[in-house]
Amino acid sequence: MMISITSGKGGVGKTSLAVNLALALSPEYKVLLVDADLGLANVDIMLSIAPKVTVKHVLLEGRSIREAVVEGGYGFHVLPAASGVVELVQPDSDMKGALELGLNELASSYDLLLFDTGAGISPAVLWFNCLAGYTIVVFTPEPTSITDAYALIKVLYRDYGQKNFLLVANQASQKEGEQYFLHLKKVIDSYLGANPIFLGAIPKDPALAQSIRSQKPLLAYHRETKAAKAILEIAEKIKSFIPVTRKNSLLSNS
Amino acid sequence: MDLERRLKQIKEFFAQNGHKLDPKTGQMIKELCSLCEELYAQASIDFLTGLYNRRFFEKELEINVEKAKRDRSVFSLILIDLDHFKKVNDQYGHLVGDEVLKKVAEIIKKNVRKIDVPARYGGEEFAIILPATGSEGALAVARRLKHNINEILFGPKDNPFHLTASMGVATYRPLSGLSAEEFLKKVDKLLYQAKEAGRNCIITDQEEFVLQREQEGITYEEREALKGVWQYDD
Repeated sequence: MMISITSGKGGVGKTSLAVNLALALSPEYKVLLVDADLGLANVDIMLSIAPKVTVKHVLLEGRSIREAVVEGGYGFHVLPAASGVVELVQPDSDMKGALELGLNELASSYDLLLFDTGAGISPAVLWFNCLAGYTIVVFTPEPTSITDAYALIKVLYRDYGQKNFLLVANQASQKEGEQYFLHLKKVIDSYLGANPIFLGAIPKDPALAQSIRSQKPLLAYHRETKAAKAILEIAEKIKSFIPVTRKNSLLSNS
Repeated sequence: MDLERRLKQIKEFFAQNGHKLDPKTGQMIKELCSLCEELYAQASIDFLTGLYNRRFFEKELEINVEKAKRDRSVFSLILIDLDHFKKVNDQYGHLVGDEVLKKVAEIIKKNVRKIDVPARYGGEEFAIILPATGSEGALAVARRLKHNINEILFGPKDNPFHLTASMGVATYRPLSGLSAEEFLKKVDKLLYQAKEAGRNCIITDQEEFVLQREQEGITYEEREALKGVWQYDD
C-alpha cells in the first residue's frame, strides 16, 4: 500500500503532515516514510536524524535499498533522500526503474509506504504520485495554493491515471477547510470528473510551528493541541484506506 | 539511389562478365560485393533519402514504448504517405520519383528536432517518432509538414507539379499498455482512414476536445470557476 503526500505549491506543510501521519499510524501499522523529494531531503531534518546511507547511495552507487532504511525514532521507518544532489532531482528512467523495483520490494514488508513528494508538477513528483494508490493533496486557503492544487490534480487525473485524491486543508479551521473543499470539489467534479475525498483541515497552531523548529513531530509530545487533534482525525480517516491485512504490524512482531 | 537494386545489378553484370577478369581481381570484386551487402544489412540509414530506414525505426519504436512504460511518459508518432505517388513514377519516371522522395525527406529533416527519429518507412511512406511529445505538439509538426509539402513544386522546371500528403498521428500513452507493434498498427489505421477520407488530410487518435485540453493547462473557465473557492460567502 502506497500513499503519496503532495501539493501544487510548496511550503504548505507536506513534510510536517507526513511525519506526523507516519507517527500517528505507526502503533497500528508498520509504516515506512519515504522522502520522495530525492535531491532536496526534508524528512531527516524534521526528525533530526543524520542518515549515513540515503537514496543517493542506492541510485548512484548501487547500494541495496534496505541498507538505506533507518529508524525514524518515533515507531516508523524512514527511507531518507539526499540534500542538494542535482542528479536526483529528475531521476532518469534507469533510476526510476531501480527505485520502483526497490519500493515494491519494501512495500511487501510494510503496511504503508508514505511518500513525502516535492511540490509542483515536475516529472519526478508526478512519477511518485502515480506509483501511489492514493494521493493526498495538501493546500492552504490561498488563491495560488488552491489553483496549483487544482492544476496538479488535473494533470495527475487526466494524463497520469491517478483517480484517488484525498484532500487536506492546512492552516484552516475545520469549517473553513470544508467550505474550501466543497467549492474546489465542485470545480473538480464539473471540469475533471474526479471524485476527491476530504480528509480534514489542520488549523493554525503555534505549537505546530514550534515543533518544526525543535525538529520533533508535534504528535510526539503535544497531542492535545488543535493541530495535533486535527492530524489524529485525519490519520483515523486514512486508516479506512489501508487494507486490513496487518500481518506486518510492529505490535504483532514485538 | 536505391542501393539494394544497384547492388543486384552489379552482381548480375559480374556473374555474366566476371570470367573476363583475372581470377585475383575477380575474387576481390566478389568480396567487395559481399562486404557491401553486409554493410547494407547493418545500416540504419535509408540511402536514397538519408533518413533512418525501416529496420532502425522499428527498433527505435520499441525502445520508445519501453521508455514510455517505464517513465510513464508519452511520445507521438506521425505516419506520412504521399498521395498518388504512383502516378508520379508512371508519368515522370523513377528518377523524378526519387527526387520527390529526397525533397520530402529534406522537408521532414528541416522540421524535426534532434531528438526526433524521422524514417523512410516504405516506398513513399515516412514515419517520425517524437519523443516526449503530446498530441498537440505532434499535430503541430504534422500540420507544418503537410503545409510545406503542399507548398513545394516538384518535378522538371518546365512541367512542375504539386503533391499532397495524408497522415496518421497518435500519442503513445503507457496506460494503454499497447505494444510497439499494436501502436504502429493503430497509427497505420489512422493513416488508412486519412486516405479513405479523400487524402490530403491528418487523422489523429484524439477527439478535438482532448486536444484542446492538452494544449492548455488550466482553461479560462476553470480559472474563473476556481475564484469561487476563495471568494465564497458563508
